[in-house]
Amino acid sequence: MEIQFPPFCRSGFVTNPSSGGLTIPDPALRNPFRQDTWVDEIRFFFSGLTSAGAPQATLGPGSFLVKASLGRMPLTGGAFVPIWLLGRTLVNSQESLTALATAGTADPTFVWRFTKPLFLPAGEQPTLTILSLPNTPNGVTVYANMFGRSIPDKEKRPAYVDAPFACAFFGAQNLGGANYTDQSYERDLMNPFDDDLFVERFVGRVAVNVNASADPGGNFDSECGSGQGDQAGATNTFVRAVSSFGAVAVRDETPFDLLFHAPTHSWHVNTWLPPKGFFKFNLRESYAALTATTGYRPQISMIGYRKVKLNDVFS
Amino acid sequence: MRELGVDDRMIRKGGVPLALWAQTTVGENSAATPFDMGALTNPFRTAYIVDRICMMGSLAVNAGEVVPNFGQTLRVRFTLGHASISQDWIPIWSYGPRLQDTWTSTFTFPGSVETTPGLAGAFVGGREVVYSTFLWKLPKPLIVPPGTTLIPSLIRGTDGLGSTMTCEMAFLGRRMPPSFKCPSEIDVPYVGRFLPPEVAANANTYLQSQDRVDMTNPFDVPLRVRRLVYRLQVRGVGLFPVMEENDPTLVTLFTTSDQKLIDNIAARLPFDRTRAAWTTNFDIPPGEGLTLRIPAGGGLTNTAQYTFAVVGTRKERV
Repeated sequence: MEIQFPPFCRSGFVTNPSSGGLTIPDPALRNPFRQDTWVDEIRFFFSGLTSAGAPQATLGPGSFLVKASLGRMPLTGGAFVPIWLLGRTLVNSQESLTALATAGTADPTFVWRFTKPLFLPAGEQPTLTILSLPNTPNGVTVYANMFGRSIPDKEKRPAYVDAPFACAFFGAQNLGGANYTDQSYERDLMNPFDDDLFVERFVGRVAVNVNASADPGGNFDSECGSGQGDQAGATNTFVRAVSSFGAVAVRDETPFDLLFHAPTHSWHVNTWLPPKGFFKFNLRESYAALTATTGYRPQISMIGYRKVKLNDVFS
Repeated sequence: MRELGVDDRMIRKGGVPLALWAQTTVGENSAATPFDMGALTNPFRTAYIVDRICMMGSLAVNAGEVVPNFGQTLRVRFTLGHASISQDWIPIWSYGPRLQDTWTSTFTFPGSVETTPGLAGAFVGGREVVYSTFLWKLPKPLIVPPGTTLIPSLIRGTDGLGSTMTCEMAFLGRRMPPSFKCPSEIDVPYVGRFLPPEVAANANTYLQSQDRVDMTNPFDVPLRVRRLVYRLQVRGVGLFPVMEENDPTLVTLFTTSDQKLIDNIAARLPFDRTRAAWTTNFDIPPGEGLTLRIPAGGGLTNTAQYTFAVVGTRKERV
């Protein structure tokens, strides 16, 4: 008996992605069986984070970003999206309640699970470009593993596909010892398309650079809540949010880590954003009591999908 | 009438996301402490659908002290108008599954898995702030009718820490338009509990929940049970409760009609160590309930506090 929709996994990697970015080579992520595919998720695995060399003794995954597209269709908005803002890790204990990718701990795997499976015509593969922040040391390999199911040839192609979409807001990196405010731009967490965008969730993390005062352009070692004891950054960042229609989404200044609750760091909203609509986040960062040499950088992503006519993308 | 500033499509397709947050402080062995009801009320005077409730407790401890888990001693009770959501003051960790794996071999600093230390020395005269976080994803979204507030209130038991604890609660949900018609019946969550007295180590005593009192469906309609939550806390050295790593407890769980659901099995099997919960989907008829029996104390290293909760929903007329 033929297996219906047999599962498959394809993997590609880049080593030492630079600030210019490296693209997962073709045909690493292509279905080798020359069949249409449903893609359920992409997992990003890091190798070498814990053994990264000077100048960083520790290196967190927050220093790596991705840009994704499929044909003419962008899957990520703006420039690049931090990989760790696409979803959570596979292992609960790697999330912020204990150490996250600090020296000596396991390299994490982050999962971008699509709200709805992505249809991939035979012969196509998504284009994933991985980039690292400046001053990221060499020795890190980033793997992208695509999980999905092959579609039997007899199945009719859909007229519309659900295209995943992710965009992100980077807050400014601010040092402990003072208080700050920050705000996302309209373009950061925005639906740039002419179609409605289903917003499944927001993902929020506060990146930490323990060497920020000496190396402000340095890398993010970890994340608030790790065993380094940096949960204070997330707890002392307060969030309010509104939509492009003036609708209040977060009414009061809510602690960052209560809104983007561990271990998923997600706020599931399951709402629709009309064309050109956006969410704007206001941050109040009460870092006065925190270590003055440490930098904190709140980041928020918006994850969802939209319906796209198949022929508009792959004709 | 069109609601100003809000797009109809956004609302028709599921509501506009809205997060509400409030904070309060609670001392050890405190009286009931409510949150600011104004902060947790939908200011738009429309129906508000609550999808999940995030809870966090934090307090300062001396650096180097064993970090406790507040989940057992911090207890919360929810009410919605005349509708009871919590049977009584229920440990905050009994509302939802454990958030984090427990495959670490130690339960000392950085503490049991729901608690993490803050920045050492950064707060309160050099003491360390520790946080415990908990999440209750409601079995079914709760429709809070216009003008009504879901009210949480807290008590804190004896944990030996003395400091004033800061507790924060966030409702994550969606607000609906004025035109939204509340259904005549809504799904209201309900949490029943069995909270026996503390048991000394190796005490040769059975514990059994009270029939038709603990974990009973007190309503006139069936209670759809979604989850059973089992947690155990063992007091370690001093007064700081720590988790029991290798829980040897055997449990028997049966219904009012003597139908056995669990027959003398190690608790860590049905209530897996990762989530401390067993997801189910069955009805308890009106007036009936579950009875839990455990041979207490045998094999435990210190005084133990068991908590057991039944999480479900029932239909309630608005």
